Amino acid sequence: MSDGLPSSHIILAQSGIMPSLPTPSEPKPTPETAAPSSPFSGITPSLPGSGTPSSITPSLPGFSAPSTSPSSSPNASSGTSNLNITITNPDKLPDLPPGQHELKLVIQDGSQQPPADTGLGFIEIFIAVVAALLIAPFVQRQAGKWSANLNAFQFVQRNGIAISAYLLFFTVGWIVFMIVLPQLYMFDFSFRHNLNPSEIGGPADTYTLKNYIYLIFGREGDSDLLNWLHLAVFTKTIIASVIVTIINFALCYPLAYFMAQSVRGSNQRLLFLCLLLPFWVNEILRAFAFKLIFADLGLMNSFLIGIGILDQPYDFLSANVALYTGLTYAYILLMIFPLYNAIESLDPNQVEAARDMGASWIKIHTRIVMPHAKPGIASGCTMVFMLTAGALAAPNILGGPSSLWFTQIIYQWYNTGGNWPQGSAYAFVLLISCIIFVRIMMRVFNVGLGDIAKR
Amino acid sequence: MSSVELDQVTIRFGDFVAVDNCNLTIESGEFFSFLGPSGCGKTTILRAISGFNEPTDGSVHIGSKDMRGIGPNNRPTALIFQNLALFPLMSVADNIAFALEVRGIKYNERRRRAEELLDLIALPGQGDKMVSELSGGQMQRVAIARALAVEPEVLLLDEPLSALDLKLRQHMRTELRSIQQRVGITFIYITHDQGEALTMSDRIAVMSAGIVQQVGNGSEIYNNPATSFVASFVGENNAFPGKVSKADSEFAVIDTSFGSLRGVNNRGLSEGDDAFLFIRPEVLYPATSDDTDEDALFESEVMKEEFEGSFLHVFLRSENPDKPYKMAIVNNANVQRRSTGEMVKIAFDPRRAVALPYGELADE
Repeated sequence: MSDGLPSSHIILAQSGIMPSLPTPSEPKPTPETAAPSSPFSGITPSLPGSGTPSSITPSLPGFSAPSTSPSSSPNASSGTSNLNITITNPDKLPDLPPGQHELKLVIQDGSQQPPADTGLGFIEIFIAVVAALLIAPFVQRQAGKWSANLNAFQFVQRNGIAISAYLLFFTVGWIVFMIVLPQLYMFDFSFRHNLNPSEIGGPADTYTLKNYIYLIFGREGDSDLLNWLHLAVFTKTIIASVIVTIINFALCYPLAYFMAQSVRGSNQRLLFLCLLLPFWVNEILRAFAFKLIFADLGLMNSFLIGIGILDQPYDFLSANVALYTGLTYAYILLMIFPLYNAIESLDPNQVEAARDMGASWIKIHTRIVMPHAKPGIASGCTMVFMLTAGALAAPNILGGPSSLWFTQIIYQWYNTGGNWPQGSAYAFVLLISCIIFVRIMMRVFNVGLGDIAKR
Repeated sequence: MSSVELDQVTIRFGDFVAVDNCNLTIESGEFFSFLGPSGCGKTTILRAISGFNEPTDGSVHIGSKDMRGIGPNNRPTALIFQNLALFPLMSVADNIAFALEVRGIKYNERRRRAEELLDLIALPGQGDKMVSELSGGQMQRVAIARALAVEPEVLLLDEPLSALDLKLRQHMRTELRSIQQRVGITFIYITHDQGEALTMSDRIAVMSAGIVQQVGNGSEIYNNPATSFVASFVGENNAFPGKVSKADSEFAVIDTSFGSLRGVNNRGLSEGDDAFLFIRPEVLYPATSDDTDEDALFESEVMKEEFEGSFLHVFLRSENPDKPYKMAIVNNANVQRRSTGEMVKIAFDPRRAVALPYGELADE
């Protein structure tokens, strides 16, 4: 972006354009964006066999998206500061001459108005009012403390302006710009129609629940009552994530206990190194390695046939063995380290005392070690569950032909489906469901949020 | 009730010998202490009795039954850890009844037994508190109650009082002793604090470098130490090194740099042996004209005096300037103060001075 222009102006201009662009890449005025630049779209076509989004797409109902190669050709006319993006999408704009679809993106010239101004919709105002009402009592209660705490100025005095600004930016700034704002933006998005750029800000640009309704009830006029396919995939994703989390915990707990309580010194460092080193290999490569191991003529089948357990290759890929193995392995460190930290802080005398009093190993772990390590267990399980439910690469590469991960549907909405609002709605349902699920589990096991943050 | 017998117990960790050929019999119902500086192997012995370590050689018998291969959970012992190792996430009653819980005893029965034990340790009705709500002394008593819940025949205590402050420690000594007398089981107590060992124990084993130096009751160990280590470790003592110039079955005369001095010869010293003469500070006194025994008299220079109230401590020059001899004079209201640098004649009762073979001295 060039200088001399208020940054808000640019954001506004972009936000007006983004929703209606059928390509997932950001509309920057550079020629590269014309080509699809997602890492997965680059891999997908080269993947033989099943489990790739392209091979799944046809089986999905509701992907009414047009051809997946939207051509937005930036005509950056040199000399002037105007950028013309021409949308040539014959399906969506059938009866307008191409000239009418020209979208002018203002880069330098502040005198021209951005073409589409979404403005403040009803929902934003509503949310703002509700939020204000929610925090009002809190603010009132804290106001006294805050005024007394005007010595927060001491924070600046103690750390100096540069460091204070740095700390503030990377805590507040991080949360606001990296987490809150994008999520709010997506949230807003999920309530909108999938419009063409020219319609944005127009009379058709209203809020709607149809994206959420679609997930539950499917396309209007469908014979089925509910959108069984997507709901089934959603449920399966959650259940599979729970299973992966449980497998992960079952594998990691003994290892973490062993490393925390039995191994000391250089052996411990060696073990940690052994755990860490494989993660220098990137996730995609590891997933493909698993695919090779579990392939029909792969290592696992050769081995099992070699020692005589199997007489013909077993299809690990369709049975999702490869998928579960890959997902379990992908997040193993996120389970081991919180567990290790929690168990390491347990006084070994407690274990010995319990042993001295005649407790069996099972009793020692259920009554002494696990209650002590509960925050670590919760922390590890939460991370593994969340990341597994949100995994994309492993299901893409290792999933069997019949398996579909919910994230793959989201990805298809964004990418091949070209329907960002629909994708946002799906992504939000996944996010909220996962959070609710985790909170319920935390309530069941009586763990507080603060306990998790401690580890 | 059962006695504990250590039969030629040797415990090695690699090349390091933690316990060297220990032979001991601890009677049932006895309060027995292992006393020694840190690293002398006393905790290792305790862990061998409780079953957390197996002896490298020799055997541990409890109630005449060989304990080899029997894990800590199956021995009739209960161990109280140095840091107590109470379970912080459980209530007091749950802590006490944990051993009953793992034996599958019903909640009501567990609760009843916990209440009984809480009465025993004088904390009635406190079962629902969390461990963290208790004071140090209360935690101590809960740890004892928890160990007693399994009705062990032998209770093993690994310096359980070391974390307490002085006042509480002194109070807990009497408390522990009275609990032991009430329940009547064998207590084996590990400590580096001779005051604890002397006040509570029926018998004491003094250990140094993995070797049991002497076993005996408090006054035996204090008045008639078997080795130079015991003499210097238990209580304060002045060591006069020298050579035996004359010895009979009763006394030995030792040539020291303060002249020839006489002490009781219980360990068979003979002429020409290297030896120590140990004279306790309270045995020394300023000589009067009545003191004519040349072998019980010496002269030294006053380095400083410390007035403690009941005692006046006089520090006298010895061969080692860092370790002056110490004389304790009872304050009988007209105790005479001396100035630094003054030469004084000191006398002692030879029957209370102990001549021992030359050997290791305990660090102060």
